[in-house]
Amino acid sequence: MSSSLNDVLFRDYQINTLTAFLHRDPSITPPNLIIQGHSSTGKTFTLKRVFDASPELVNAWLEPIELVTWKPLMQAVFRTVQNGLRSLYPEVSIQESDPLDVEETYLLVKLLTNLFSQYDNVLQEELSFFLVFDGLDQLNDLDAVLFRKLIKLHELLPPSSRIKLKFIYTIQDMTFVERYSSHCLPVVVFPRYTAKEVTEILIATRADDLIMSDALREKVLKEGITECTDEQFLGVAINFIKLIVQSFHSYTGNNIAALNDLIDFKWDSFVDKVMKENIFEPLALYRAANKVFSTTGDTLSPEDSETTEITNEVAQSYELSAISKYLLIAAYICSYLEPRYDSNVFSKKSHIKTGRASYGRRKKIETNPRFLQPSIFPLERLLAVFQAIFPVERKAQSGSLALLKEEPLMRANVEVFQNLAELHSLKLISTTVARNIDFLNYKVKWKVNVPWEIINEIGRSVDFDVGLYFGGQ
Amino acid sequence: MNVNEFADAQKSHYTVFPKLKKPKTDTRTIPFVKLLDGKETSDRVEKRWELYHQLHSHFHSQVNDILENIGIDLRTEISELLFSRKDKNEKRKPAFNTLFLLGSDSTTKIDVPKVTSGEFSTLVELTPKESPNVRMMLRRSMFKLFSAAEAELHDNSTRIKDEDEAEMELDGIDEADEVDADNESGSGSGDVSYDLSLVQNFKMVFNRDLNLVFNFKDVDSINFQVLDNFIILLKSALKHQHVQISLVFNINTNLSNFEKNLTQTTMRLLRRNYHTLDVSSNKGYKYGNRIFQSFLDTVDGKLNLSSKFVDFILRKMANNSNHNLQLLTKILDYALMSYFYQNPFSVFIDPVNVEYLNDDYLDMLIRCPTFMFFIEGLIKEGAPTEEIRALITNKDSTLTGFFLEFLVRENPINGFAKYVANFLETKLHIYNYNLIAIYHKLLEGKLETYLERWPACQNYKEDLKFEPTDTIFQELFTLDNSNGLLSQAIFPRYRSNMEDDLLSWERVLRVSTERTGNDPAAQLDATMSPIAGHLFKLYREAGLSINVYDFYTTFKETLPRNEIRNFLQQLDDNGMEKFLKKNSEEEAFNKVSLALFMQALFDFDHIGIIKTQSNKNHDIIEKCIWRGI
Repeated sequence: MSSSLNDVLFRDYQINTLTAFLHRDPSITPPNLIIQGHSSTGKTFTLKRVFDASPELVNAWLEPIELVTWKPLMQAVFRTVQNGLRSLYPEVSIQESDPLDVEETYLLVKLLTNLFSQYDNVLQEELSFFLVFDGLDQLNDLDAVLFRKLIKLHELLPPSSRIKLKFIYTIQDMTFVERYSSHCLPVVVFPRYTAKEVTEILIATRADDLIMSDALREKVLKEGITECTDEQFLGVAINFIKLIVQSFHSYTGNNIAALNDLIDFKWDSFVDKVMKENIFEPLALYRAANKVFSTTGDTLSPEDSETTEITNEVAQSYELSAISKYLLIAAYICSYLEPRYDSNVFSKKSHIKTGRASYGRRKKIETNPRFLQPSIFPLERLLAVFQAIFPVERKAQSGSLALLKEEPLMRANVEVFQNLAELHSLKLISTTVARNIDFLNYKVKWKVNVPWEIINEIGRSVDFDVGLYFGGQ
Repeated sequence: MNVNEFADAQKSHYTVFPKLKKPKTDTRTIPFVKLLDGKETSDRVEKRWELYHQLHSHFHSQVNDILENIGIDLRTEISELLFSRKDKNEKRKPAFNTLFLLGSDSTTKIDVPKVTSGEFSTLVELTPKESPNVRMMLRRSMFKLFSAAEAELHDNSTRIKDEDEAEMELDGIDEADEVDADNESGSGSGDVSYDLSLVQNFKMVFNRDLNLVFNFKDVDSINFQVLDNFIILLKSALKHQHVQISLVFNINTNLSNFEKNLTQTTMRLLRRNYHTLDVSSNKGYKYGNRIFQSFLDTVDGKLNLSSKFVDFILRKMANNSNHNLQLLTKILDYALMSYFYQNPFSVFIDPVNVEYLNDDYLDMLIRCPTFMFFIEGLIKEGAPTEEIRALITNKDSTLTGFFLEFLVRENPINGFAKYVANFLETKLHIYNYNLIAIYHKLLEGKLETYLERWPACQNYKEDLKFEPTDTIFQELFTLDNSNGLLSQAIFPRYRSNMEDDLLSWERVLRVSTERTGNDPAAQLDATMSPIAGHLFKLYREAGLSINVYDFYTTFKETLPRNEIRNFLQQLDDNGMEKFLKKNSEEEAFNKVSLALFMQALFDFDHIGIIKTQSNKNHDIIEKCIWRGI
């Protein structure tokens, strides 16, 4: 049997255990079997292969993640069993029930009993019907009772019936399994693959389709590479996979799915670097394609955006307007600078500014406030700081009459509030209460939601050195 | 009890339709007023109003065209991205067809291709309200899919149902009681299990491939955890051969915000096949340019825009990154309206109306700065005195003729701006220019500084040279923001306005000018501001927290005691007489001032400028606004 399972790598022990547990004869098969292992450890694949290799095992599959809640799950259990049996014994005509009638667990039991009893007369021998819950813990509304209901279901079904329902659960979360440890269910554990194993699996599964990919073919034709054997192509692909695993292992861990994705994303750009000269030299090829392996590229925003347009406009970092940027900077200052320093820092009146009286006893702060959580502030303070830091160009000459007409300071008009609302919807600043906010109410407290790095960058884009406000205490 | 009455009594709310007052027939229907110190005749006012209407509606029809075109352009582009099937690469892993609409206000319509015999395409729109959790999202979307399919393919599906009754059972389309609000509108064919099995068995039921487009509206408001789970859930539907799923995300923040809120696994899933499209129509200046251009065309190149006004437009547009075009239209609109409202010469935009020109207008004409400058120039040049005098006094209607001559003259800047734009596009293939900025630089005569950013322009410096000239009488035909009307009307300061009004209440409340000495009420009004204003003056001076008693004492001391006493004594009211008799003068004043104080204080509380109940210490009122912020 195991000869046909050769393509399942590094899972011999698990396959042996599974074949020991799974039998057509229900009397030597446990009613529940848990397969535990983190994502991409080969649970589903191995189990499928085991079933493929032993066609006498009757099995059906369910994907709890699609079913979201317990009720559709129960309905799906019945539907799958009924359909499975019908396709197994198409010659038997039975009275079918509607899966949607399964409104409660007892109805499931009733309908299943009903269903099995119709087959009792036809079947000669007892039969295990394996129902696989593929990823039970991914059911969206999983509660503590559901699993208990499932593992005890076999006790409620009539013992005399010929068809015995056997459940197999694949579960990712170890703690979930441990929660039910007192039930003494058999558990087959799939440990994570090691890096070496991952590489070998990836080579075994992916190398061939990488070679067959269109990108490589086109490139080979274009470059006129003729004297290259299949094995050498294979060497390129294997080399590529190894490089991917080595460079991104610290990022993905042993997650085969993630590595697979990376292989898919990077192969084309890697192939692009293949040339007649370097196809036989892995080192030269690596140097040429060095950039492919230096970043994960896991971002939607194009990285080379600077080169796309030539504009001398004020850099629109974060696509914010100038008012928004100053508001954000003001919010940051409000969140991280103590209010008592405000008059000292922002006031232009010297009699307020000088002296210890303005902000109390001078005491060195132990922790840099930047490392703490942002403190909350009222809107009024934000607007005051904003007014203090917002630069207003004065066009008229000093001393002229026109100067009197110009506003010396930025006042909070609709634009300011518009931008404030935008910042809030961008979640760059937030309020303490989340729902039903009366934004203009003085009771609402605000805080900034961006880290120092971003505020520094925004500050630079408007030529405003935020650091000055936090430098010398 | 009558049944109707009973039903009425059970209603939770009623709708009352107010009776509209009959409009008085003799009232003016035109909101414009007579200018020239009221000397303007009413038919001219009417003409002005008509002219304004013509231009306004013309401009707006053009703007609508432009905006509609944006929509059409966008829709074809979206459909192309979503539905143009490139040769399906079978070897590729099945993936979502993802489209990110950036800067979208979620009103973008998506055209779904017609149902063909081989394929059924449908659009499922999910709003944040409809997406509180995965279960609801799934049910809603499957319900929408099913009802769309039912409606579209009804004839077919009933036929198929008859044929494959057994298979229908398999899909769970049967009489069961799915309790869902959405079900009410469900078709008569019974209820469906609204889960992915519908997608799975779609081919079997409707005999067609399925092309499912999910349009997530206002994605930023959907809980990202839920969205993430939902996408992962949809992923398992991709394994079916006959299903093709497209996801459209309407993002009005930015992509990195969206990106950082989803898990990397999901992002990688979406990244396999994705496009981004900026629908905000703010990116680039294409549509803004078109609107501005159409405005210039609308006013026939006659109206000028002052450089201050154009600068104002530019600044305000830069401050508003999301609704640029609406803002531009609004500003231009308002400027046009205020121009026609306040300028008597606006009537001459239509040169036919020149017959109206009479002495009242000429009087203003002579005082035009550009005209005076011109006369000055004539004097300096030593032109004949009679000629100059004739111009000034309109002897033999010289001035009228002179004015007429300039009336039909076009503003050269409008033409040249168009020329520059054309030049940039056809000769240099530069498309990301800002027409408004070009116009502004032209007005200032500094076009080169704007064109510096494109090195290619350096070679054509001569072609693009332009010297702005002052046209005589141009200030009469210029849209301007000189008195700050636009900034006040379109970008009001809510609170500063209120503060200013409280402080200088004379601006908004009418002050009786004649002092009727014997009316105590008028006397009181004259000496004292409204109570709230009076208290606000004190409030302004106070520190962060105000002791209530001190506040009251100050308030009392600053009240005009004598006037209040006089006013009270002369009130013709029994209650007041009793009150004054009972209390000594001092007591009475104390009580009255306390009442006034409390009244003002409660007003402040309602306006929201003091905190009263926040702290337990009732002696203190906390200030919560600062004046002038």
